[in-house]
Amino acid sequence: MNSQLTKVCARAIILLIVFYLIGCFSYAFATQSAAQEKAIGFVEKVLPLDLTKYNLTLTRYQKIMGPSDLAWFTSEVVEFTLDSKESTLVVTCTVQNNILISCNMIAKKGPVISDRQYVNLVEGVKTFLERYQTFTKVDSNDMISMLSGLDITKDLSITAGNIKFTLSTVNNFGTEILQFKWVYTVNGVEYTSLQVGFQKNGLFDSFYDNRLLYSIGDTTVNVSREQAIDIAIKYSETYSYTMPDGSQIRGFNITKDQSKAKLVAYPINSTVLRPYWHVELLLNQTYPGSVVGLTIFIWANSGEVFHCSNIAYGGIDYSDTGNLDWESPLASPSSSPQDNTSTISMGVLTITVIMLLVIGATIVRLSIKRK
Amino acid sequence: MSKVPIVICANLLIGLLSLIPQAVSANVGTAVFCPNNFQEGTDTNNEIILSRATCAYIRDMLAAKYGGCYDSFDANCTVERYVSILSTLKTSFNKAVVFSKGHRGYPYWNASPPNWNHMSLLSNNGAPVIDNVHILPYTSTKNVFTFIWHCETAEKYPAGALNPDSYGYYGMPYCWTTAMDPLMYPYATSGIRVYLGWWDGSPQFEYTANGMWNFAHVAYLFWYFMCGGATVNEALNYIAQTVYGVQYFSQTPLWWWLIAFGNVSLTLP
Repeated sequence: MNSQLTKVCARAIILLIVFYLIGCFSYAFATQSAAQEKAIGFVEKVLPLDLTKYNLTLTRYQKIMGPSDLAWFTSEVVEFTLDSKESTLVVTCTVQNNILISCNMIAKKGPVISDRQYVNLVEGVKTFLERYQTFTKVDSNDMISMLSGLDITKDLSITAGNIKFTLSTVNNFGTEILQFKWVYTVNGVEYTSLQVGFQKNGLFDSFYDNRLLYSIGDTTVNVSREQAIDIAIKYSETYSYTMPDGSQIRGFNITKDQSKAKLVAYPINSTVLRPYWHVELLLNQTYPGSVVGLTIFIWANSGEVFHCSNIAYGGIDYSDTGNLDWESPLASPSSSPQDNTSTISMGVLTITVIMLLVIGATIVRLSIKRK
Repeated sequence: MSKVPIVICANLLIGLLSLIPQAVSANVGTAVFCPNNFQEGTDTNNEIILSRATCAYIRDMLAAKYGGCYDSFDANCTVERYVSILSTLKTSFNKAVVFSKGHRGYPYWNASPPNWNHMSLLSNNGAPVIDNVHILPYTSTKNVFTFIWHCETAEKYPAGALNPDSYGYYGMPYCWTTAMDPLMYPYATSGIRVYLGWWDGSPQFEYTANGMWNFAHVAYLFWYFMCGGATVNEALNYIAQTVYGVQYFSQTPLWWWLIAFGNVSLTLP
């Protein structure tokens, strides 16, 4: 009876492990495929490349999960290497919520083999956007029309309706990029954007587009800058934080004339963008925990405070650290022996050793039973 | 009794045994230091919790990639532990990857002569890990990937490498990399190593970077992305887009605050 029960249990466990592994693999494969399809579609339909000349290989896929407090966040990175006799390109795309939001292209070797020639860079950008519009099915005509007659020899900023367009030269780690940026604005607050970068020689560099990722919620702004700072100061009177010894730090002296407030609309635990005041209050001294200020977020429509955190830096102010508890700043460690007994934190090794012990014990037990 | 379980166990045993050489084959050595500092109330409770959690994430990611990672957190993170781990990385591995998060000190500010060139990382008990005393002798050209998240760790370079003072060579970029010939340039795209540090004050992890992202998230995203095979410039641009909603790292407040000396086209070794 016992033997039969053991057999049934062993088989059930093995089956569970197999099903679990199959489940994991198929989930990962399905997710990877969806992101991969988006990225391949973009490379094929939008990028100005002659793909008949390139071999395309998937060289990296990574799913990035948010940390535990931002568990809602995931994004996927898909990287392709495109090889031809003359050139090698690396194209990296980021997919978030199943939406392709960015892509950048690096020429690793040789010239980029393009599938078309442009009269000038503006035409190149225009064609890119037209093809991108067809790919995404998002109406970008208002943005495309802003490129007409554009002089790219100087930085500029134009606003048409709710769209603010800027052309500027941006440094991408040593490479000068002409950035074409369209931002949807309401009452001066920036919401979604499309940003496209080309090198000055006409090569596509990258794009970033969060228009499909986010929606725009209530854009009402009822709270002025002054009111926002006053609300933040009022809130700081009730705010406190805890030190490791359990003491509560409160009662901050605010330097009001150095307070800053900006009206922004970044995503707050949601894909719906709403305007809020990002207020930074500077304190009149460094408080315990190296705290020099407070960051306070206030909804612009209601004036409700929904976030407060410390502004702090990792340095030590030497005006008040004369009694730091160290032995001697000149103590030499040169005699310290090499640590041969260091406990290396080997996740894999630890798990392996534990599993080996368990498996070993199981084998011994099974062998004894058979005898 | 069926032989099936024994066969499965034996196969698992063989499979696991094959993992051991990979885990201990020590080509790349990695280390994460997190000297949460209780001296003079330098860290809030929240900062300590965030630092431990984030450094543990980073350690686990590096351990998963390389089969192991030295770590030194809290009371374990003494001057001696810095020295011993750095010594081991130098002598037992071909390449080293290091991350350290904490506070900066000036070790000779009250010495004779007083000196503000040299800097230290503050260990858990406040004792200084001095640039030219406890770091430089235990690093080498093997230190190809270093990120020191303490204040002013991107300063004093290359001055401290080219013109040592009466106490010796100074500045974290040089002391962590021994990079003198050739020198490392900020945000360059050539060379065999990369070193990241902060110009001026390093933000505490609890400091809000933008929206709902704090600097603990920034560190987490950076290492997550790096451990997936990205280059430094890709990781920094990814942070620019994810955290700040802008296309390029140079458009964030971190540009010339978080400085990457050396080759930003490098991946982790």
